[in-house]
Amino acid sequence: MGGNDVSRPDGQPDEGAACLVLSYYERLGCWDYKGEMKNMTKDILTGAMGRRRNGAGDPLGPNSEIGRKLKQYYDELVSDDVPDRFSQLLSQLEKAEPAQKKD
Amino acid sequence: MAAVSQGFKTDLLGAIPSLRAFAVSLTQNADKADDLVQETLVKAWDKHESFQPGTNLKAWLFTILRNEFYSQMRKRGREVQDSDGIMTARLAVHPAQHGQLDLKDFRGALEQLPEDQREAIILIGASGFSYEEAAEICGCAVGTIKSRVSRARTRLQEILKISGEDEYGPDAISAQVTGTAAH
Repeated sequence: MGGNDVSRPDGQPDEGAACLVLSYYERLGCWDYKGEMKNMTKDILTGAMGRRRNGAGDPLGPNSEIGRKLKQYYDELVSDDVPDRFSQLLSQLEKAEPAQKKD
Repeated sequence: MAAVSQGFKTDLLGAIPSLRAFAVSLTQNADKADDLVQETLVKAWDKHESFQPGTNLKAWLFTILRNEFYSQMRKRGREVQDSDGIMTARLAVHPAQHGQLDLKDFRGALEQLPEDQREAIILIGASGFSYEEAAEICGCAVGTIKSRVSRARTRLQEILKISGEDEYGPDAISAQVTGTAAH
């Protein structure tokens, strides 16, 4: 482990931090065409993430276009406003409960 | 029947955005998805006693939703597997430039996957489940999930014309972009 390694205070590689740094670098477009050092950092970061996932690198991780799009697609769906019908439904179920208990 | 606790209700409410996202991913239709979520909530409420507190509520709910989805499909007599063919030809996707892939194209590509592959790649790549959890949700072996995810990924790359990205680790990407691999 070198000084570039991303680690938590307990010495374990911090996957979250590694992901952040990776996506930051990718947004900057840095390491695709810059020198060795950037690639080394990327290797170390990817390695830190890979170790957390029992060895093999993550094929749907931040290095992967498919992985990034998948998360973008899903996050958009998750952040969609929830219609009122669902909280109304749960309130109805709650009200209906005492009646069920009598049966 | 034991009363449903307030905590359980709050947790159900909190899970709705994820349930809706998973339901849309499965059905590819917003209205059907919301009906599916509604069914799931009613089922979950009815059998709340079978949920073990302290275990993963989200995984439990996803299992119910998924079972409901497939049982509805069977009732309608629809063929579950919609593998290669029919849909594939309908959508022409422009070759994606690296990192420039449009979300609309991606959605279209995702739609073309067979259900089993689509759900696997969503559970692993987007919903944040482990392979073990996804296997539990889908009622299959961990190895089956792994191969479905892998086939889904390959298929998406084909449809979107992304050439084998990160197939050989990070070096392949930099090589691709700098063009060193081509020489």
